Amino acid sequence: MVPGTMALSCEEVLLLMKKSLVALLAGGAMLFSALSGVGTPFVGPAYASTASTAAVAPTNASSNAPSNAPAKSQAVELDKLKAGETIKGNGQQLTPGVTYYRLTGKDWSGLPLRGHVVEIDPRKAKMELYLALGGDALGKKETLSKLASRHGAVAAINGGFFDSASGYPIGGLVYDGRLMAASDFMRTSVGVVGKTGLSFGYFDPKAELRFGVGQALAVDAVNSRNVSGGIILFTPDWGSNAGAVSGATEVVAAGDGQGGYIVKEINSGGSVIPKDGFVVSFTGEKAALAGGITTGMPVKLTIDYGANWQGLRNLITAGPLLVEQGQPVLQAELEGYRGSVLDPAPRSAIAENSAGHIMLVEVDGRQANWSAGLTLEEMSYLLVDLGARRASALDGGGSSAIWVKDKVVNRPSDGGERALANAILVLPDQVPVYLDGKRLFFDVPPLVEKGRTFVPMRRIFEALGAELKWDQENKTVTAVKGNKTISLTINKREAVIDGKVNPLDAPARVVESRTLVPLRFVGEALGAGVTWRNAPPAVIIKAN
Amino acid sequence: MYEQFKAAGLKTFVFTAILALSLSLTPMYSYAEEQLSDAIEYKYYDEVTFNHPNFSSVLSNGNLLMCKVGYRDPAVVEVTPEGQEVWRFKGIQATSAVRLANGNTLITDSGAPGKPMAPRVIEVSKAGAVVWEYRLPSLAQAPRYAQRLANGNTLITLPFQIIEVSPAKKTVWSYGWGKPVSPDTKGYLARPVQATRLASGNTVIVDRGLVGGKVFEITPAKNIVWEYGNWQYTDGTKQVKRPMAAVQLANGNTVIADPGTYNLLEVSPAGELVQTMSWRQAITGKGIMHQWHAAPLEDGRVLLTVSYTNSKSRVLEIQTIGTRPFAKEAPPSTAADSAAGSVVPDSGAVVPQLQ
Repeated sequence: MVPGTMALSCEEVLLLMKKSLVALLAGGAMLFSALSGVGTPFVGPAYASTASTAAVAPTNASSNAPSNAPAKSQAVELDKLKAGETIKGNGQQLTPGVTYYRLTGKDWSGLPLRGHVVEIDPRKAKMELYLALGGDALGKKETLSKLASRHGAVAAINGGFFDSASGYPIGGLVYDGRLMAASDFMRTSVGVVGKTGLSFGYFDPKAELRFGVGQALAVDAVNSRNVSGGIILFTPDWGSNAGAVSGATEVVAAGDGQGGYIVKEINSGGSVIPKDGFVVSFTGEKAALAGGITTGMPVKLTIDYGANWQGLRNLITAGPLLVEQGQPVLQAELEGYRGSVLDPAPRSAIAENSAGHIMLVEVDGRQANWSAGLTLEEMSYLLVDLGARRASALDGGGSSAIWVKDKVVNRPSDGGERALANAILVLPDQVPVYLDGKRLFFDVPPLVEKGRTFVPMRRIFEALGAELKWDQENKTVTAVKGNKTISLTINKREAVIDGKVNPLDAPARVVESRTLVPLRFVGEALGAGVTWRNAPPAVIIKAN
Repeated sequence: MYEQFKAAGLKTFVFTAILALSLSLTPMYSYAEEQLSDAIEYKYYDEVTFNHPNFSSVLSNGNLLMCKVGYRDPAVVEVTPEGQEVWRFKGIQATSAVRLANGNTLITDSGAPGKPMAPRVIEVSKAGAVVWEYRLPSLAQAPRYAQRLANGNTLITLPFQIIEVSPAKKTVWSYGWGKPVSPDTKGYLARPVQATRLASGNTVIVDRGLVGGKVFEITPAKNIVWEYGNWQYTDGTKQVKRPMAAVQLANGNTVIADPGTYNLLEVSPAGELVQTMSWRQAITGKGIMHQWHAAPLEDGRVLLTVSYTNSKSRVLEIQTIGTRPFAKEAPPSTAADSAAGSVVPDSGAVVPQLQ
């Protein structure tokens, strides 16, 4: 959902005002009903103390897989609810330390509210929070279910704001430690520090360029055209060509082979971005700053995320900030939100509670008979009720979606899943695998045993550019890349490479109905270099 | 004879036809329409769509002092009636700004979106230097309004508390719990937006609420003198929907601006509604998407800060339509006047002749 305004006729505006009034009355009355007659501080809605809200179920039986249709017991619970009450459903353990439960509520006019929460205890759960990019590139979009399944996510929620037309993110984007976009700074960003550390706040990375012995020039935006008059840095993540801005001077910098950069050429109008360099676009009133730059000049680029974002691995921009120090924060308007985004709507949020648990929270909306949705203020109060100490909204509206174990469990308001620019994933902790500098994900995490790493066969062969054939009868996989052919048979301690038999001490195997193949063997057989890094542990593959 | 009559009839017919045609083609004259177009005075028009004013006031020099908020170029700005910017304090998301007698500006900086920015109340000189600053510890305590008092202290409206701090930053008085509590708790505040200290020493608090607001006056001992509204909005009877500002008149009545109902509400010292003055008609059909702020002006006018459906913004001065004249001052009461039942005119109000 793109924040900001929508062009509406006056009639639509008045209709929206009426709807807002109803929903606001509803939501607010919900809050008030929860509060009335209670002399204790406003923390926690009136959770019904029925058996269905008993302690977390210890088993992780797949038969408890959540379904979209409300169970009979849930429908009965809804009837029992007073206007303005919300209850937590049975907690289901997805994996140790990761619990899923549903929220059911009723507002003042009798309209239901339905939501979902995934709670992660980082000390018990061997998990990491990660970002998934649609199509693994800026400007591409993918649904949550596709993103979550191909990354092997235990749980996932939609991510930050993006331009629905271009697919490019709005604000900042850091992926696997790499700055991929930066603009629109005075918004709230959500970052992951280390594996599960959450950070909320103002992200304004300081990127500086120095041409030759010239003064340091501050970069105004990275991989974004959402700037008026400034210095824009276009990296290879943007695409093949820099975004053309009329009247701009473009300085193309390529790697100098020694870890630095050198000015290759000076153009205007969408220069090709060197794969080992970048393009600096001097636009508007800053175009003149390119005056003293000549080809051959050395270029220095430094990027500093700032004291509040040390150790940043992943970051998206969303907002507004909803909870701070356990109290509601109402700053949507200050962060620039206007129009229909301020009406009751589906909402997604990420939060941390006082126990240090991370919560992914989604509430459906715009479906009168299913879930009416919430305003951002109501979402703040709901998160405080759920025990949040800090929380930020993520993209909402038709983008709101939450994945639990193996499917999207909410009802997206568009009627189907929206293609997203990015999503936040909960991944089983695993040894990261890198292919030519980019992290490679599998739908089940790599298995490391006795110093050997095994990965799902389909993904690794595809990533290495080989074509795959599976012989079900003989349980043999054959991969062909160019004029190279490799064959592996499940549990057989030998492999066939180009017709020759080779001994294999780490045979292909089946784990939980997945065929895993030895990574080093397969990689090297297909001409790639595979090394193990110790600190921090990682498998590094160099194919090109 | 018949021929003459026929000719006359034809002329009449043609004349009538022409008259009817021209009447149907020309817009009908409407007194109400004329009244509406005079009802709005456009004070400020803003083409920018990436930020908008959320708080405005008219200065004694006739300029407009506004807080502009949004993800790009937020600032506190002063503009002339012609729209020329004459002062700017940039880089903060301000929730209110008032010009002090010493020429400095007292600003509540929300600290949004977060670290390294911090919520604070600042007094800024004309040259843009921060000459006094009161910091709040978290965004959950972002200040919403500040008033410099005659005693030199500052009365600050926080999300769940009103505090009075000395120049040395000591809290000398407070009202409220500083956190959400149950509505039937004494000192409960839902979403206060403006606390003003009166000459009497009492404080008027405007709480816009979550679904309905409340405006009330308290003594220094925190006893309620009068109240209007109950933090709900069901049928509007003695309720306010989203009050944003209140001004107490010399006659003791208070005028509340409630953009939630497009009304100025004049309330007596006993908390009784004296009259409702509406601006709904004035803005209907004008494409207004948000009324960010409303403040009562003199003579039943309201200063309205709005954004349109096209994302552009304006600050408007609107003449509301009420049921009685807006009396600025209390009529000097004498026994004779009361007996006669006449209204003693004040210095400028229109006085209806009572029958």
